[in-house]
Amino acid sequence: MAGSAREVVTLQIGHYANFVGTHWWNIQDSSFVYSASEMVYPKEINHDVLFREGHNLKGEITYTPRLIAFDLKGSLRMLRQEGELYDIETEEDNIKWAGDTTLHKVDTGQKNEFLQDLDKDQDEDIAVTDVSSKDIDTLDTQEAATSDAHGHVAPPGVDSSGVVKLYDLDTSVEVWTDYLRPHLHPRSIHLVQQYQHHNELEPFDVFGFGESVYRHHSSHTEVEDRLHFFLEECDSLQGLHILVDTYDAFGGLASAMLEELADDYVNKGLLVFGVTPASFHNNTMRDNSQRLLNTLLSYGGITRHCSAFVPLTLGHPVKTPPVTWPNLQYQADLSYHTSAILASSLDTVTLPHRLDGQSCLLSQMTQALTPANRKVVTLQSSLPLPMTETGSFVDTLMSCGDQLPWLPLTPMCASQSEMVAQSVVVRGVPPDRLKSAHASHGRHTAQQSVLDGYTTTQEVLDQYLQDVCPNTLSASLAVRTPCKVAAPFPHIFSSNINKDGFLSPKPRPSMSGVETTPMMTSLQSNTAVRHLLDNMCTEVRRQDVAKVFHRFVDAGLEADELSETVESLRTLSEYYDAGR
Amino acid sequence: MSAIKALNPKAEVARAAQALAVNISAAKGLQDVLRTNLGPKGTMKMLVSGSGDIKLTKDGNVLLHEMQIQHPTASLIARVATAQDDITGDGTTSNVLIIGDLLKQADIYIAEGLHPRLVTEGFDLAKTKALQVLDEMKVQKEMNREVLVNVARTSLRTKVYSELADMLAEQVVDAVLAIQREGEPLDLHMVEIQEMQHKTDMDTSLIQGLVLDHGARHPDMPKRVENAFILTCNVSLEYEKSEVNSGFFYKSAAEREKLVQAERAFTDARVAKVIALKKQVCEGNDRSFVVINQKGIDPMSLDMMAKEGILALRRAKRRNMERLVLACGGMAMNSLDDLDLSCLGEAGLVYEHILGEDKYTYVEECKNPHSVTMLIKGPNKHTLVQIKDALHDGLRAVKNAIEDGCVIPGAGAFEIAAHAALMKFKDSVKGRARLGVQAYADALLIIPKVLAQNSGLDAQDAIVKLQEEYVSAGQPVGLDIVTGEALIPVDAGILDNYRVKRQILHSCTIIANNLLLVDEIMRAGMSSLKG
Ligand SMILES: Nc1ncnc2c1ncn2[C@@H]1O[C@H](COP(=O)(O)OP(=O)(O)OP(=O)(O)O)[C@@H](O)[C@H]1O
Ligand SMILES: [Mg+2]
Repeated sequence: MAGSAREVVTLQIGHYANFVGTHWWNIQDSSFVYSASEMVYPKEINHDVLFREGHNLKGEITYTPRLIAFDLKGSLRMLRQEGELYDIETEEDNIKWAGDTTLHKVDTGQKNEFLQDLDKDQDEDIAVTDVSSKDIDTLDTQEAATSDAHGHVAPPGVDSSGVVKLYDLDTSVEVWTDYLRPHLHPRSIHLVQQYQHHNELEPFDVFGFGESVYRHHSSHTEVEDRLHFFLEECDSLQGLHILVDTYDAFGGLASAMLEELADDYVNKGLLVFGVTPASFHNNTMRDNSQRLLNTLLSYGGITRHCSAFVPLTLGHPVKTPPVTWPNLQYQADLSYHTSAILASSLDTVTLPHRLDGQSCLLSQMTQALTPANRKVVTLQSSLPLPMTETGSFVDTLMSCGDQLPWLPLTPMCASQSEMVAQSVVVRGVPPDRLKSAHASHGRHTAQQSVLDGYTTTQEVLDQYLQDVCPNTLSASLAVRTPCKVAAPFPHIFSSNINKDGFLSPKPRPSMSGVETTPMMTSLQSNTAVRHLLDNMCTEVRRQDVAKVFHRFVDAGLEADELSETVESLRTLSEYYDAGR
Repeated sequence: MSAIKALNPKAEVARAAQALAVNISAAKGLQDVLRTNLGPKGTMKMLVSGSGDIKLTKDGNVLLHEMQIQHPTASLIARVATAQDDITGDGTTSNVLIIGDLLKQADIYIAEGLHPRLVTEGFDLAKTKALQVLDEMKVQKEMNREVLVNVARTSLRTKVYSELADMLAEQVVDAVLAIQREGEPLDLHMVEIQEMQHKTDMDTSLIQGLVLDHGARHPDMPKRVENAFILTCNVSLEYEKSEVNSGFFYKSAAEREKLVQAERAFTDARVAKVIALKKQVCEGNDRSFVVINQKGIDPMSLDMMAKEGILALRRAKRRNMERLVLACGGMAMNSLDDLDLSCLGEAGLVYEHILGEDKYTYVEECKNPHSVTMLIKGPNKHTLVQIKDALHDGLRAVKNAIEDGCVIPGAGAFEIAAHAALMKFKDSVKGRARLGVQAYADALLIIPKVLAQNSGLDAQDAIVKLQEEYVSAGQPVGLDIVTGEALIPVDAGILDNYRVKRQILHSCTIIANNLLLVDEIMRAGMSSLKG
């Protein structure tokens, strides 16, 4: 199968970006099906797009994300940078140094319950099959059902009787590696050597630091090697998914890197998701101004070179309290929570270019959504899609009335009236729940009758979008597979959501979590983007950035660079004015 | 501030003294961490992270980068020391040791009432004198291969075990000599460093050409060719789709296929140009043809070239484009329009080596390569990294020596000589600043002292012996770390870089002075001192 997929390579640049990415890989990893008997839905997603098959020196097949994750030294806690898949046993190290050798070991505490269980499962897996890798190629074919050569692995936290274990990781997750499920390739993790995670003496918090880190010869060489490894092997690369922390120096690193990528990968889709936590624990004026400047410079740098840029946060890029979502009870101050909401939405919104027999390429999507240079794109999401236990998809849509069924993940861009084009994905609607069984009685609108006339989710969705956003160019996609939200996805669902992600009048038993959920996303070219851009430019003028500005200058910001960036964002904002 | 000073000068002094104590203890702390590192008998440190990542190092600079330094003074010293490394590539450990001792020595006099400013005046005078001594000690001779190997060996033996160090020393010198070009600055980046987790550290070698960590992506392409023309280019050989009109979103696979067909023609034309050139230059002889492209090559293009027996590599790294041309000759082509023989480079042998899922392509037997590759081998990642760090040091040492046009006798010889000269000089200094000179002279001795201690010798014995021998020999003497006796470093081939020593003197003095004149620093940076 490998080779037929149109590959997408992922970059995660920054600690929060890695929080988001980790959830995203977990969602995918937990939806792998290891045998035909487990296959509940027809296979729709082509995992070879985002994952690569390889083999280690022992000849074992490996299946790992096409990923480079950037973070600072000291951010990995319990995870080895090189991972374990490619370990080879060498004889005891005999250090040939003639003088003394001393050992210095850093203690980073204990693995949390989830990671411990993950280790246990893997040990068992190895004991049984001697292959720790995930060969999901075979599961495309029916053979897998008969020859269970690679062993059936229960996901961690599922005991032999199939009862799903509940984890409470809210307090134990410190860094993203605390809940990472899949193995990574040894070349996936890049640690910035010049800065340390959580070092308050020398924080990595000024745009220019990131730029110079990237340009520093040795790190540049290392990054180039990693990019080369993952990109060279792609026969028909679609492009890259790039998740970036836009509020700190990683934005600078990403901007500098994008400049080169754009040059080397002309005509590929460079889809950038700029992510920001919903809240910060350091909230002085200084901190805020600094984040604002970083964000502004990142937006400027990224939009110059990317195909499309989607700013994402559950807060506001600059301030204001986090958004509340019906049916979710997330803690805004936990990156572990907020990143999960973003990740499930990203998993959904990217489905169009990750399907078997794809009908859309990443670059086609980014081009279609960025008419007239409007490179900033907005994301709206519905998590969970508010379907009741017994209700139908049509009912769900109808119950929204005039409201669209989603909430914004791009701040300040909620406006319905300004959508120009959108790519909508709905997933996890059971085919037998398309329309209500008792459609015949009760009052229902003409619209509902029309919708009830269709036979597929796709058709219903198309018609619905035509009805509610008649002036928007919409492309839609309906996917049967729901979003996997089992452990270590956080428990952020309200108790009225049942284990399959549907609204239920009965509260969910306290010992059970939500395992899958239907979802809907819309990626939009929305002229409301100008509010976001204008607001940032105004804020920079309004806030007293002078106190922190010298740090940016010291880090290499040139005299006019800030005003030029503001100017370029204003121009970008004007693109959204034209022809409204 | 000045008003308070006038009213209560004592309070000011007290606070300054306190801050000075803080600085001194931070400097000592850092010194303690690094002192065991110094010299060829220093202690190797194995750092193991919480997750089991291993780092094996003896390099001061590497250690400073690995440490979680939470103290602002320590962090300041560390930064200066690593700047030393950025500038010269060596001398981090010495730097930290000397700063520590400058402060310790100064503290003795300050405790007896000497004003810090007088100490710093003495330091400045002493530095100037020491620099003069350094200039007088230059060993100025032709920097031939033998001298350079000695320099490289001296550096490398402080980083890896001697057998390996000796082998790497020769390779490092040959690498630098290869890339050296008349009238052009030495660019060490033209020595590519390629790691290969395989075999042992002693299998590390210098390749007179390039080793690329990728190979052909077509099963029918040759795995080994001799006598090859090399076309280095940066031209997309992938089909490129034209603009998509924004009206259409998701096309059917069939529709897309049609588009592909139409656009394919462009790419095919480009590939045809390559093939035409190949035919032109290889017809009727035994030459072969290799394409190394910075941009992509899609499967169909690969297929076309494979049919013509061309070996093609795609997505070559940017940095290797310049190197390829330096190694093989020819030009890096940004267009395929005017191709002819003069664009092509040559290599005697190009072959593929497969290791697990990694492919390597050796481009070897280049006629007069101005870019070469150090191919590092070793059984595990941390060995590779350790060797890589050591190679960087060795390469820098050789480059420094060539550019300096001179070297300095090592093994503590300079410090002994400088101490002696400063003790004489001291008498000519008027006033209490001479105590600063004395402090400076004593601080320099930390280098031979620690070299002795790390070799299991008695520091005092060693110093006394060296000083006596220096007087009687009338030429620089250093410490024989095996016997504890004096030796003549130049004869023993223990040679340090001039610019490293000079930079150490500069930066130690500046930083020590800053830390001594602490009240100014206090005002500027007290808020961050809580760490
Ligand atoms: N064979 C030798 N015998 C005695 N002294 C030596 C010998 N080789 C090197 N030295 C001395 O060791 C010192 C250098 O040690 P080392 O390289 O460990 O530290 P450094 O250069 O100060 O710091 P870094 O850790 O950055 O290399 C120099 O003073 C040098 O003269
Ligand atoms: Mg050294």
